Amino acid sequence: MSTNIFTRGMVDPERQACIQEVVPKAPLETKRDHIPFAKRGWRRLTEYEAVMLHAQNSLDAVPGSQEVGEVVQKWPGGRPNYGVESTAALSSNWFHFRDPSKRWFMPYVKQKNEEGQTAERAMKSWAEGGDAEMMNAAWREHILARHYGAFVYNEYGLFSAHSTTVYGGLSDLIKTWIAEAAFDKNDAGQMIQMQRVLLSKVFPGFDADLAEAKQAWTEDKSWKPAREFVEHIWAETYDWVEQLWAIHAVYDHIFGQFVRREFFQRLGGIHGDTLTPFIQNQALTYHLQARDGVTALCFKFLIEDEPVYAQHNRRYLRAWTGRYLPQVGRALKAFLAIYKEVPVKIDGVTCREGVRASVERVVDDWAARFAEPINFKFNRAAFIDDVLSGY
Amino acid sequence: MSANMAVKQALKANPVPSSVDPQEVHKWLQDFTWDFKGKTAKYPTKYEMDVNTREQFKLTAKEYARMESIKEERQYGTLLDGLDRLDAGNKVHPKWGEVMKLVSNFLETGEYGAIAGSALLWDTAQSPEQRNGYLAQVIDEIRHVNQTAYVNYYYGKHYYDPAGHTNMRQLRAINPLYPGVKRAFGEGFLAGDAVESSINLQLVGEACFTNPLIVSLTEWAAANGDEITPTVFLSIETDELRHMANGYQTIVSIMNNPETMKYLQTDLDNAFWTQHKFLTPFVGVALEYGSKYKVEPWAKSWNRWVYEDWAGIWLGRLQQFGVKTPKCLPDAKKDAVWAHHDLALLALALWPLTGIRMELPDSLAMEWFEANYPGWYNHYGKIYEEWRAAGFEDPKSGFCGALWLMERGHGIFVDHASGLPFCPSLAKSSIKPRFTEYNGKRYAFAEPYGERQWLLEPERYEFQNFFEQFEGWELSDLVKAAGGVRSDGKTLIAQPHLRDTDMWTLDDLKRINLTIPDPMKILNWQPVAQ
Repeated sequence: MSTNIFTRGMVDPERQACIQEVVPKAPLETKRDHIPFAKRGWRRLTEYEAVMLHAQNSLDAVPGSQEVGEVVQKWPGGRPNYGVESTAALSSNWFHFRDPSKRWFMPYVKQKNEEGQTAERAMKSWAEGGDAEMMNAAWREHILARHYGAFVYNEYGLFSAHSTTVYGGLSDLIKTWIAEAAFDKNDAGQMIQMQRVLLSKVFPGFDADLAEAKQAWTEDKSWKPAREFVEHIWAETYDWVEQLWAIHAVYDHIFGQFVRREFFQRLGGIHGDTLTPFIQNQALTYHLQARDGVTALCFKFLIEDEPVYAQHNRRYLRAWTGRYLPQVGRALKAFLAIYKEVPVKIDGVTCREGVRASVERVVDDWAARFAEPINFKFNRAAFIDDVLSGY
Repeated sequence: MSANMAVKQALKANPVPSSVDPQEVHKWLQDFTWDFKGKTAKYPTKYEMDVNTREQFKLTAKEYARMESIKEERQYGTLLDGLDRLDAGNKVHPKWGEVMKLVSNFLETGEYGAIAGSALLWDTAQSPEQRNGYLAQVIDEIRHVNQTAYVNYYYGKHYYDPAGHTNMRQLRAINPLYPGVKRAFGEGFLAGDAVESSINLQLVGEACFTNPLIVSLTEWAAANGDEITPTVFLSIETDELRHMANGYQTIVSIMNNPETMKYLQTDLDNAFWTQHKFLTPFVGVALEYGSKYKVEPWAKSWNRWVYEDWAGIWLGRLQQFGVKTPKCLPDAKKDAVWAHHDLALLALALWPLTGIRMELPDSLAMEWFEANYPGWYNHYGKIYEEWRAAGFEDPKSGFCGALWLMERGHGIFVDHASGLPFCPSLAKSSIKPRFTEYNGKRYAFAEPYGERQWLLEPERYEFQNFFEQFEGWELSDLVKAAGGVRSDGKTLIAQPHLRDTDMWTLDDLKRINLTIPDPMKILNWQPVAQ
């Protein structure tokens, strides 16, 4: 303390009496609408909007910004930050984007904390309640040790790819959504490793070390096209909307959904593994939130609600889809080779027709959700047949 | 919470195979990455960041969420339950309630800039642990934007004058002080080499200035009846230690390369100047001119936190790497005594553009200023007395401090390096005014530190200042265009007094008859002496 006697003005009667003498008898202003100049995303201003919308101090070169003139400090060479050239997508007002989940910091960490506590309890129950003993040993020692571990790198690489999308995002609510999606990716990778550490405690023969998993990710043919996609989107793709579309709307909604849901979650069940489906269920939830966010960004915001540039944006989304879909198809095709290594084979699930059904579920959902709204044409049968040739 | 902690401690003491401590996961993070062709940062640095650098606060995502959600529950519980029932919004002295319109919003700008600055480091760093730490900071900074915004939002709902709290994100566009915020926080944190941004944000902004800013500010707030700000700002401060550690690890990560020192000292010197140039005067104005009840003089707080704690102890830890204290530190020490008084004079002269209600120091305040800053009265006090006599507060007077200054040849210029206004002929801080011409345009600089930055990289600081942007605008038109009018359509949000009577309107402002000039065109411009 800088003074020996400190008086708190709110609770000190003498000081508070003096303060009340200068407080006006009636409010000086009757209107209490927060950020009244801003467009409301819903009927009334939400807390999500109140605590972030228009916090960005950008200039009117970024449409929707509140300031004029120029930024005071630029990059060496003179390039300004918040440059619209960071993406080929165009918007009449970058501040009209809203995350349908309305997640600002407080609800975001509250939800993640609840998921963390649920996971802790589930892991304890799994380890102590007898579930662990049901797990197929070969599934554990080979699939979880090698390939589930390899998926850590998938999640970490996608997390890494989000750094420049957070930097490039052209408004406050866009940056918020991207940062949360990135944090979820980091979390998803860490949760896989948390599960692997638990496995190493429960089963003395299981090694939590990632060397074998890294070898699978960097050397196995079954992961090669996926790894190449992740490396490209992380290090070589500079347009932040393109990155977000490619990651969440193309790659993760086809390849990611298949690996998490159709492979690890579904096949975990038939191998007596009740833990992996639980952990992956959280990652699937994160993807669904990212899916809804990228839908809001690319469809609602950049097309449906965009009065000027909708057609321009639709063309870019189609072009980006055309650029990344073949690689995603190759990733899925290569991944299907893993079915040969699956210890327990069950008709209708791991057989060719069962896998076809899985691929069709994923591809058809993707087509309905992301291809049709932008009139992206692709040969469904040929795409699925090509993917299945990897089985 | 304590039960939760007890469980944690028990598990740590007696680990069972059914639980996984977050540290058991974190220790694998360095293995999460792999090498591949083309793996480089999209925003490369002139430094070399070591891939083996570790982070000090080893948090996993879930553990981070557990910790932060507890803090959020405490903070919003206090605000929305305890302080609501105590009617806290109406217990604040108006001087303080007004200055918080600016403080909270300006700090919000800093927190927002820090989101992108941390993302830049997350891209540039190659160590997975460092990236994990920088990501946590990105999310922290979103938290801090939400929190600082919530202070304005809370005041807007509960305080007796919500105007300004509700729309400062719009009003700040015409505030002549705001470009100074943008230079230090808005862009200093994010527009440039990632390590340079880290030095600005973490090594100087956070390690040096958050203690005097947040700790001092909360003390002054509480003294003036504001328990809202301490509730939020002290919760912010709990994250800052991790950010300071991130900054320290940034330096650790680059020190293996002997070439580093070619850049580091210069970047540190520039970063300290950049952050100090705004923060030292602005925080001093907020504390001492935005308060009725005084606490410790800003110059003393600054000396303890900046000079002794940061420059002495904190930078002392970096001496092993050859880092020295910034060259401008002695001048900054002088600024800590006088720069905020210089800035307060200009803020009062330009009050219609600030978006808040403010008043001239009364006799008690003048006594305090003179007692703690000997010589204050003769330099500033007499001017304020003359302004008061000339009708500073009277809406019918047509008086404006800015015109008073200009009519007496005291030009207000904008320092082209910091973006802040300064008055060469009245300043008592360590300024050494410089005026120069480049490509046919005239520039003003408060002193050579900023001028040197500009001379080395003029393209980085090529911008229109406040006077250039709004030259030719009639004052009341500008205030109206920026949303500076209350819901009756005529009364100004900003006022030169705190009463609820005699409030200035657009017509009163028009009576001043002030059209924004560009002082570089009309006042006594002097070329740089060769």
